Formats: sequence, C-alpha cells, structure tokens
Amino acid sequence: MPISRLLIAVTALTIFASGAADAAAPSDPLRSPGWESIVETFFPQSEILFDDRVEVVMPTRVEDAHDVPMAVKLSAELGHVREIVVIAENNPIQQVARLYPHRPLKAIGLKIRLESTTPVRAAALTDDGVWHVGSTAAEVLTPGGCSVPDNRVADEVSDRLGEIAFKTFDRDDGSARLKFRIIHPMQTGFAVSEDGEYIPAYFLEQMRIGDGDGPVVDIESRAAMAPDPIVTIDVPELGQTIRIQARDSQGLEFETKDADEPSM
Amino acid sequence: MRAFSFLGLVTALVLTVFAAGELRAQGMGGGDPGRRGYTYGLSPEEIAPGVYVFWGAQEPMTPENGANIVNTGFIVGDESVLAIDTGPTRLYGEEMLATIAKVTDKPVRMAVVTHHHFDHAFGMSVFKKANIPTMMHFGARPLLLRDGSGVLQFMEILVGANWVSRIEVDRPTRVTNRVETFDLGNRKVVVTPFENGHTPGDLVIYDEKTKTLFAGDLAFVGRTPTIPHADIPTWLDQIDIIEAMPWDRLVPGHGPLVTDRAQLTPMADYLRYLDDYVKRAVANGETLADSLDPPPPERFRDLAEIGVEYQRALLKLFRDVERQELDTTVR
Ligand SMILES: [Zn+2]
Repeated sequence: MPISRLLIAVTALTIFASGAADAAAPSDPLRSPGWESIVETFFPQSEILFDDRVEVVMPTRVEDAHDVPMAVKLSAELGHVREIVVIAENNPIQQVARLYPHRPLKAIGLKIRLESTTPVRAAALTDDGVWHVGSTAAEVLTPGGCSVPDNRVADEVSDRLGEIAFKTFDRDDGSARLKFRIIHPMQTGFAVSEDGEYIPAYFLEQMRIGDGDGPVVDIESRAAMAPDPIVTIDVPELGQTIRIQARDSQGLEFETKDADEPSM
Repeated sequence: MRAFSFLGLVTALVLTVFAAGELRAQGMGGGDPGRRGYTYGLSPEEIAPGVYVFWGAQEPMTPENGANIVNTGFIVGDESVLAIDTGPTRLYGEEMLATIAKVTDKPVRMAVVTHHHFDHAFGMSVFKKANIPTMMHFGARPLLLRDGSGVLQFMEILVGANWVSRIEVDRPTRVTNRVETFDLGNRKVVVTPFENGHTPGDLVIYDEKTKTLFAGDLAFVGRTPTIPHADIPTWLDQIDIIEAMPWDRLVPGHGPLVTDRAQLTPMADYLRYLDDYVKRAVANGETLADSLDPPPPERFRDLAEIGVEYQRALLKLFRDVERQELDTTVR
C-alpha cells in the first residue's frame, strides 16, 4: 500500500471520528460532521459567513457520481469577490476548483466528481476578508465518483487530449456566458484499474480565460472535476476574442487555436 | 487493493452516518421489509387464457417493496412455459419460479429478459441455476455486465442489503438480434428485437393465441418513463411500431394492462416534451442547474415518480445534448 494513500485514508478516518465526537459545529446549516475540518483546511483563522447570496444549485440525487453538474450563483450584493473555492466535503479530493476572477462573476457552472453523499460548498472571499459560504447536500446513490474508474473513460489517453470547444451566449439578464469543454481524463489517482493497479493521478491544474480586453478568470482545477470538464462562466461582458489556455499535471499546455468568435 | 478497500470502508462509514443523521435515513442496515419478511408475496393474475402477469407497484423502490416495481409474467403452452423478465432480485426470481410451479407442472423452457435494467434482469441467475436458458437482446448484454455492480450499490442504498445481498449479475445464456419464434405446444410466441430506443437492446414478446404483447419498458403507463439509456427520437418511432402491432392487450413494463392504444399517448407526449425542452435549453446556453426549475408541466404531474425521474431524465439528456453541441464548436 503506498504510504501517501494510507496517510490520506487514516486522515480521513481521524477527521471523521473527531467530527462525529464533537457534533457541535452549530454554525453549519447542514450540520455536517466534516465541516470543522473544512474550516481548518480551507479557511483557517478567517471570518466565515453562511450567506444566501452564494447559492449552490445541483441535483439532489446523484446516480452518475463521476459527472455531476452544479452551478454557483453569486449575488451582485456581495461586492467585489477576490476568490471563489468549490468544495465537495466528503471527497478524497475536496477542492474541486479555486477561481480568481478578473471581472465580476455572476455564476459558475462546473461538472464534478462526488465520492459519496456529501455537502457541496462554494465560498466567495470578499475584500473585507470574509468568506461567504453557500452549501447544498447531494445524495449519491452510486458512491465512488473518485475511487471507481469511470467506465466511459478509456484506459489509454485519448488522441483528443486537450481539445477545447467553446461557445458564447447572450443571457436574458444581459450578461454574457462562456461555456467551454477541455478533453482530459482528470484521473484522481484513487481509482484502481481492472489489473489491480492504481490509475495515476493526471488532471488539468490550471485554466486561464481571457478575451480581447484582457484576463477574465483564472481557475485552479483539481481531479474532483469530472472527466472532460465543462465550465460555464457568466460575466457582465465578453469581448470578441476568447482565449482559453490550460495546463495539466504533466506540464502539457493546451490553448484555443484561433482567436475568432465562433459563429453562432 | 488494500488501500482501495480501506478507503471504501471510510467512505461507507461517512456515508452511513451522514446519510442517516443529516440527510435521509433510508435503507441502511438491511432495510425493513415490514410484516411479510423478505418475500414478495407474488401472486399471478391470468389476464387471458394461459397468460399470467405479476403486477409490480407504481412506487419508488423502497425497503418495504424490495424494488418490486416491475411487471413480469409467463405464458403456458401445452408442453412448456415461457417466462418474461426475472424481477429485480434473486429472491424475486426464486419466488417467481416457485409460483409458476404452483400454477403449472409444465417446464419453463426459457426466460426472455426484455432489457438489461435491474428490475427486469437481476433475477436471472436463478433461472440459469435451474438450467433454464435466459435470452436477451445482444445489445443488452454488455450494459448489464458493465453497469451491474454500480446498480447493486445503488439498490442497496435504496432498498437495503438484505434484499440485494445474494444477487449475482451474470450474462444471459443466449443473445439475439432477430425475430425468434417459440412453440410452447399448440401456442406460438414471437420475440421481436428493438435497437437503440429505450435501451440499446429491447425485446417484446407476443402471444399469437390471445393477441397479448409484453412490451417491456418500451411501454410505461401511468409511470414516468426512465431514460438512462434511451435515444428518444428512435424510441418514439418504436412506440409507433408497437401501436401498429396487432395486439388486443398489452402488458407494459410498468403500469396497468393496456387495452386502448390511447393509453400510450401520455408517455410519448412526455418523451417528446423532454427532448424538445432540453434541445432548446442547450441551444440557449442553459446548463442543467438553470433548468432544474421550473418543475415539469402540469399535464405530467400525475405520472408516478415524476419528481425523481424528471430530474434523472434532465441529467442524462443535458449530458448528451451538451456534448453533441460542444463537439460542433471544437476550436
Ligand atoms: Zn423497468
């Protein structure tokens, strides 16, 4: 058994045990035993506010734990948001993504992996140093989104690796939406293949989105994103020249080939 | 492998406590079958001479019903019996065989499994053990083997381990993609394949003598159709074909006996609605999260299980339609 994995497993057990022993965590509206450790890991010594202005929207029952769509909606009332982190609490990889917006983000759409029934959190850091947390609970009927191989993902890396597709939309509320997909297996490192070997972790770790007016958002991604991740962002405006760049955990870089607006 | 199972154990613990304490206690720790114990109390109805149906409940799968939400049946000829579907569990399959033996002493020569979904296929190992051949569409076999273990997990969460524990998901002894005719002794039964509609491989079974069609899940009546492996436009074409077949009575996979073709209209209407709604939403740039509200239109709200099944359907359709659309915009 690889040491690192044993450590992770033991840590998970410890956290679980301490969380269960101290059922306090009164501030968490979902009363999850894991919340305290989330605070220690992600928001140490920070002010936290459970806030309706950060809304997590997703299906309540999940049968395909490798590919769960979710959205985070951010109210304009929050003011300037410096950073957003999306967390699947009971995952072996808890952090799904961390986003650094260069323009106000109204909404984010992601596809994620869920290991088991879990709270899913989104936290937005405002300029006053407060993390505004929105939560929802997802019931996972087929546990193993991180630790069971996705039988739709081929063992060998696809020759489409790094292929980027995107489309922009004008939304009814006047905002602009960019939807993009990058072909990538997003292997977690926790899944065992049919021959009994761990499939090594291999995932996109950075995405940079920009247009003719400059950067839009930088995203630190993790393998808790679904294979062939699809990301949607809503911003007040998008320029004509969308540029999407990504780098994976082996250092391969991918970017959109041409800079023109796709025809709609 | 050891690390894997250890992590699995932790996961199971977290799942158990969290699900029981904070979300919804359901089915964990074995399930509660109620007064009856772990038996289904199967009792066949003879809907036409020699044609019997075990009617399933129009309910979600629960620890009380042990996932008996499906219609199965059998047809008795002068020499032998043909079973149609095998139920959701090994317990169901065993009870089905025992009950058939009380109705007739003729041997069961085959079980035709209409498609790979668990509620129809997971009793199959019982027939095989009794040396009764099992037959599926050849498009159904790979899906059964691929998805079987995941579905078992899911069933265990919903109905509890005691119902599920002895299920063996195994391949059928025969597959087909042709029209097959069986003579049960002065009784001809015709099995017809359908591809890539409700699932990659469905079979329907027609008893010529009584003009009875067992349509499997190509027909849902009064219950929301499930579409995890469906291609809706093809399925709609197949519903037209089924309507044109010369039956007097039709046994749907879920729901009551059909004697009037108009009973199939609501399911077709619902499928058409879903297909249009999702295609339009994806074209407008919506994501699933945008489209979970509003609820389905008024006219579908009486369908059994609409709440859960509508969300499942949107999840699956969004994934498919979004992928197809993005494939056309590769940079
Ligand atoms: Zn069914």
